[in-house]
Amino acid sequence: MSTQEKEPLFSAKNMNALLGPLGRNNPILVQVLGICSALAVTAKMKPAFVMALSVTVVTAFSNLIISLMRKGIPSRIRIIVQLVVVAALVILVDQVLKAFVYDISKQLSVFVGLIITNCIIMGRLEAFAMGNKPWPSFLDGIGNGLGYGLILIIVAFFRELLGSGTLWGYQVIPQWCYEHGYANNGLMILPPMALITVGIIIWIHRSRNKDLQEK
Amino acid sequence: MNKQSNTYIVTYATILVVIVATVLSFAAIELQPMQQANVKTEKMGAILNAIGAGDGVAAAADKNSYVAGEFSKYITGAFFVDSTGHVNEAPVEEVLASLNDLPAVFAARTAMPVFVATLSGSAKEYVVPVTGKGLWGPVWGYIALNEDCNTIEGAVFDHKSETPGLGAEIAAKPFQNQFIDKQIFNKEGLFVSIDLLKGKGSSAGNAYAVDAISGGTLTSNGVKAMLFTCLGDYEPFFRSVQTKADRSIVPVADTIATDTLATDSLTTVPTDTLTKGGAK
Repeated sequence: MSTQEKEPLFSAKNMNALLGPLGRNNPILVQVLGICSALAVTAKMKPAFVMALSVTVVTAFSNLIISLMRKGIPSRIRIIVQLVVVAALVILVDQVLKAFVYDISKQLSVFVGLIITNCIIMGRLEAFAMGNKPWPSFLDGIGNGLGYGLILIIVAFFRELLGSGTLWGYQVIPQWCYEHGYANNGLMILPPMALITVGIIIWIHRSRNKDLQEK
Repeated sequence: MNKQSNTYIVTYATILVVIVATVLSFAAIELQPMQQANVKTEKMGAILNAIGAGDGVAAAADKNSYVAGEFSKYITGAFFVDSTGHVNEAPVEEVLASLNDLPAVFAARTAMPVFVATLSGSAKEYVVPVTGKGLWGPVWGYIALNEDCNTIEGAVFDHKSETPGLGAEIAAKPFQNQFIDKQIFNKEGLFVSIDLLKGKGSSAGNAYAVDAISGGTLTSNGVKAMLFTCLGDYEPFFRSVQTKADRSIVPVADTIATDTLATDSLTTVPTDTLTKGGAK
């Protein structure tokens, strides 16, 4: 990378790679990628947060590594190479979670392994990292991971609040509400409500960004 | 160099895989002791919960050492029993290790683990593991029994992949607290296990049943079957405790005959009929 041009670390283009996915170009809301895991881990906020963090780490570093390797990867096996790198990172994340936050890794169970199949990661590798320098790729990975995580946290907030009456595991709906007949909505805990919540968020997002609306 | 040539591709793939394999095996070996400590802490924590001494675990700064300390404070002994009720004294560590593959333990029925807990005063409780199948995967748990081996003092259940909000409720306190003070032998002395009845409140006043989980019928059935088979496997042991006048554990001298009895007929149950890895 000796030919790297002099470009400020946080130039407008790089900031766009980092912040774009948080708003206008959100991977879940606009590209509708990574929906599967977004439905599965958002019943409670804590696992959603850890999942968001794990995906961010994996997207950022797989983008970085693939971008560093991009000139040497034979194009005929590039998807396989990408998969090997992503799979290796995911296994590392899984091992680290098991060693340091065992309870949460138990809750996430199979979903950590399924990060490998998260379309956001492969999508960003193909669309960005294969054609960009390491630093912008790294930022793009962080941005997309955070964009994904943001939606996860929002969905989990509503699902945990309405479904379990708790936030981050703490009871927030006071006992007297239950005594006066309030009941947690069991449907919020099930995957269909996650899909509906994501749908509502997409609705709000589209109505604020009119150019994204299909004619 | 031609990046499209087969030689390049094969070499590239080989080197990549070797590097990745090295990194992953290094990480796996480095992190393994911590992971195993976590798994062990989880099991000890579940046993503490079963005897009602696990309340401080969540607040403890260093969970592993806290649980280990509490565990050695309350769990004063452990042994294996076989399907005839014979007791085989063993170090606590060894009994704990047997929890790693409970389905195999209950398939063989030669060395089923029992923990003896001594609570404040001299109250003694027996803690036995149970394992079975829920709707989506294995379910397991620990049952703490009073000294009479009849009254349940506490129950803890966990699962691998039951539906959150429905079947997964077996791992929640409201469900588990129902088991306290229930009995597994009826007035005639017959082993009846604990039934799970459909409908909220339907078990009220019934000493041998709890409310099942609404919306979690298949998981509830799994728990019911698990309790019946696994506690049933311990029945000879429970009876031998109940018939002892002083209700003390069988002295070590009595266990000499166990080794020969252990290899009897019941070992032929095929292990693959049960889900593997129940208590991982």
